[in-house]
Amino acid sequence: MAIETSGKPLRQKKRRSDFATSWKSDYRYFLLFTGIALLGFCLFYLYPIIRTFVLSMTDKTLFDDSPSFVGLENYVYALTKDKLFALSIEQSLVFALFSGAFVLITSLLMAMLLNEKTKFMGAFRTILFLPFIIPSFAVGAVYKNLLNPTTGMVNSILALFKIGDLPLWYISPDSALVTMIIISSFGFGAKMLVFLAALQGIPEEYYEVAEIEGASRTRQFFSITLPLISPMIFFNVILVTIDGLRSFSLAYVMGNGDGWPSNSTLLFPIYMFMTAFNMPFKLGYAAAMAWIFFLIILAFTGFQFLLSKFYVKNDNG
Amino acid sequence: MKRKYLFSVAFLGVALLSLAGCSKSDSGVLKIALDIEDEGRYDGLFASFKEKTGVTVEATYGLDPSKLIGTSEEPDIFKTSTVSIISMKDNFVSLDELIAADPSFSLSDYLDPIIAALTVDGHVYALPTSLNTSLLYYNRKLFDASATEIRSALGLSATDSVYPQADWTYDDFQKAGVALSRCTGTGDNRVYTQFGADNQLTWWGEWLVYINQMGGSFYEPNTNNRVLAITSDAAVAATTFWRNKAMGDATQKFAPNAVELASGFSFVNGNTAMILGGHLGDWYSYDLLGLDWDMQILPTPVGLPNAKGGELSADAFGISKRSKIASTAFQFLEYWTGDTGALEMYKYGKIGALKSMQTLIQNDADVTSTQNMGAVFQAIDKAVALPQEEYFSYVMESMVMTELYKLMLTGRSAETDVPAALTTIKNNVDEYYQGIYGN
Repeated sequence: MAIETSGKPLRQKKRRSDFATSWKSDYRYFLLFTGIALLGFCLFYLYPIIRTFVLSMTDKTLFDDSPSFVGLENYVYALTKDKLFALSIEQSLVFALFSGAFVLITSLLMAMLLNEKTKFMGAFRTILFLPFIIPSFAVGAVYKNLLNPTTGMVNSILALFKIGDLPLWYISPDSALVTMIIISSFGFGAKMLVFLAALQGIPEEYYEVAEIEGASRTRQFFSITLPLISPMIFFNVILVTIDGLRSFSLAYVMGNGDGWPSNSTLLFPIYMFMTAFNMPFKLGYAAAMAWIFFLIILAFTGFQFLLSKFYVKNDNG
Repeated sequence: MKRKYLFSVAFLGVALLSLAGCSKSDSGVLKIALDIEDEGRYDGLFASFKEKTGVTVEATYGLDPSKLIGTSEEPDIFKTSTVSIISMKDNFVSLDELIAADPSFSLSDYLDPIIAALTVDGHVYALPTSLNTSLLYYNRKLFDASATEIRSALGLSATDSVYPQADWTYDDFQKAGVALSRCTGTGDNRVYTQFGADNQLTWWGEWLVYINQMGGSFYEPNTNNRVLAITSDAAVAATTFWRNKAMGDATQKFAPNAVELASGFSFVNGNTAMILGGHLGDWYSYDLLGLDWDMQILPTPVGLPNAKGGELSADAFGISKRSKIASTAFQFLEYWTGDTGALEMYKYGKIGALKSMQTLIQNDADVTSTQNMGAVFQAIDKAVALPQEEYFSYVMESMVMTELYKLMLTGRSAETDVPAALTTIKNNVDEYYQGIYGN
């Protein structure tokens, strides 16, 4: 007992001394390897974040050299009076929710298909991944042609089925956001790869045992596949939510940069961009909106971390 | 030690000299930010300015000036306009002192409404380079091809011109437009292949013209441009005319609705015969696309031959607050917006905002036009400057045209009741202004 009580501090002391020695000797390497990244982080992330916060407390416009401090006025105005801000947040949330759900389901389905052992799988994987590497601007422009209500290929095909009122797609304020959600759901490439990697990490034996036990394919999916890839589902949920909430380029192309038609594609990033860089160039106000939106994204991410406790299985059970 | 000290001083001296070379205080170079389509257009003008003053003008093309602010590339001269000057004025020096110091310069050489529009709180912040006013543009080829139908619709004789005339009313405009439209099928199954006129759904340049011409206005008078007047009888009549033009029955419709617009019907595409409003800056594109076009003054509402004209606005340039060579910059602005610059810009379809512009064009043998230039100056005389209000452009684009768009569609969320749509817009915008300025 005496040895134990006297030995414990000794071991701790030794460990601390080892750590201090190695820290000192490795310090320069630590600085060398992380310094550039840290410098980049401070210059291009930390400084803009702080600067945006300071800006959000001013009435600065793009051309104004001497802005005044307005405190929380911009925040209060955005939260209580700006209807377009509320609309853009609402539409961004709807877009993120539905497009995220579509992307998750599609990417999981595609990953499961690609996990099968068939011929030409490499080619299939490339084809399915292709939409992801095409820039959103190009995707938007192509879909605008395909979905043109009168001259587009999609409605021409639908017309063959004698459908009465053909959809107006991105032309109508009713359907423009839905159209954008549909288009964005084809951007599943990266998430599909994450799922594919997770699926390939599941040992074959689990399925073989389940089959011997008489488990159906559905039962295997819910009892083996889903639990084992749940950490990747959580990872993808976080990614698609943030992607959806920050979506800009597709909305910019589909909505001509200003939420056309009738503000129906006015997502928050577009509205923030318009506020800061179009007349009346309200940089301070746009910065406040950005901070509110950041807090919303943070809250959603936090909520998903909470939810993950109920469906993510980790190694500890 | 002494040598080391000397080296340090020499090094510092060289460094300071180099830094001085990088600064904007080089009075021999004047930087200007221009639009991408202006590339190379004014090289001759820059050369003659250099000959005159020894100052080199360096232009950047297509770069967003707002992104150059505060950088070493920041231009001395920036583009603005009569619409955006109120939002951008903080970026510019007031020209008052520079104007007062130059006895050869007179503000009264420019069109008064344009100078008034570039004056904020009693200070002039920019000089106008080219202006815009609303006109009725038409495609001669399409008119010739429909000559018989137009004659029949307007009751013209075989010797009368089928082209738009200065005394046209909205009724004539509509009848000719319907005669120029082509479609297959009947009733609801009509599929148009050509329209009599274009339709401006995302810009106010057509709708607001109808309102002003019918005797209405966008803002209520004496409200400091903060309360809308668009529920007036005149505004309702104007909006109804505008809507029927695209959504009316076969006897009224002569312009594309929202869906047809997305299918590529437009004046520049050569499948619509007229455009009311338009923009002087588009002339160059019309020529480039090989359109056989001409213009006429705007038609007037029936019974209102003395109706107001269309919109009057101008592109303008101001001098950056941070410019170290403001007086040189002013010298260039004076040169550019004066007679020489105006004639140079006219080659590219830009009309200077000088009172003497018409005479200048007539007296210059180098500049000829096959278009009806007289109509431009008649239109300018009758035109009305846009309201000077910081949020006008934002309100129009984000709150007015967005709602009006719904009048140009059929379907679930489409709006068919013009007064209801205008009331919705008025309520939204009035509330917006109250939120900004209070009651």
